[in-house]
Amino acid sequence: MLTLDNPTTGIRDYSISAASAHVALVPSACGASAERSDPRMEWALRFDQGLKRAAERIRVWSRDSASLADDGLEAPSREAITRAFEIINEMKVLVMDRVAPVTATLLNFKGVSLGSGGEISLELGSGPFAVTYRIEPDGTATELFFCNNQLFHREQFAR
Amino acid sequence: MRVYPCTNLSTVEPNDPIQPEEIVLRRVPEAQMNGGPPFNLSANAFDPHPTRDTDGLSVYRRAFHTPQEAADFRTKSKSRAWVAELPVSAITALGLTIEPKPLDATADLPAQPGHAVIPALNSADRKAPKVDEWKQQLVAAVTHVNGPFDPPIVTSPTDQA
Repeated sequence: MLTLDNPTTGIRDYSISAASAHVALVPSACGASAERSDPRMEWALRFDQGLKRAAERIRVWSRDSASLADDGLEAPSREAITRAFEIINEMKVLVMDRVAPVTATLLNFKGVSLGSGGEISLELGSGPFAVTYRIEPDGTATELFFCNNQLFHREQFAR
Repeated sequence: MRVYPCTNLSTVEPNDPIQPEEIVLRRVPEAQMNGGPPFNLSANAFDPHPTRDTDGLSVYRRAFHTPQEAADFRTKSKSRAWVAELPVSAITALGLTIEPKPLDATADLPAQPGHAVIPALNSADRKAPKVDEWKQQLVAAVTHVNGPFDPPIVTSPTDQA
């Protein structure tokens, strides 16, 4: 069973209490050390860079819906774009500020992509674990948690 | 009767059942790749369209089409595209089926004899949990990603005159 990171944010920390593994979005003791040699800090910086690229990509999509239509894709709605930026900002805070168990496995940020119906998907993963945040056109977010490519948990949360 | 060449298959016709040893191609617009750079395949590469994939997700049989041809079966796009290769055996192992659905030539596009669909990945069911799982599993089943391919150069009638 997944444990809530912060019930008010809607973003989870990927700690799995019922499974044997522990997966976390954030590094242990992250934020206190700024040493580049700290592998967890390097991970956090990579994650943050990925989020920045994702944000820029979403901005491009928001400016050029005609190009998406030419590719046969629905453009993301204003609500979806707004929610995606909210989630990206929440992830940034979690990555840089949170403390996670030392045993935690870190999920890497894989990128952002667009669903055929204009959904914005933020994908994270490491080894057998993968998490997707899919933001629907109405701004609702769906969290998909996969283990060995099996859908382990799926939940929608409203804004 | 036109016979098409196929690796490990002596002859295949467009309406022949798709064999497990075949390879199918899936064109992926750049927006459906996790970007990048470098780009990597996202589950959205196998996301059915809300209205246009009523009979299933389109793929192309490698026996009939090259990755470049699969990338060029589009007329308006100004974006790059990638083409993923999947063994049919890996798709059917997930419990999915693939049906041949050859397309005739249109004013804009040549004939697509190797066009096929995966019926379970369709517009009506695209938000079902099982479809979410299949999309993730199909990404894992991909053996090669070709590209990127630039958008095709479309010549207008005035260009040809």
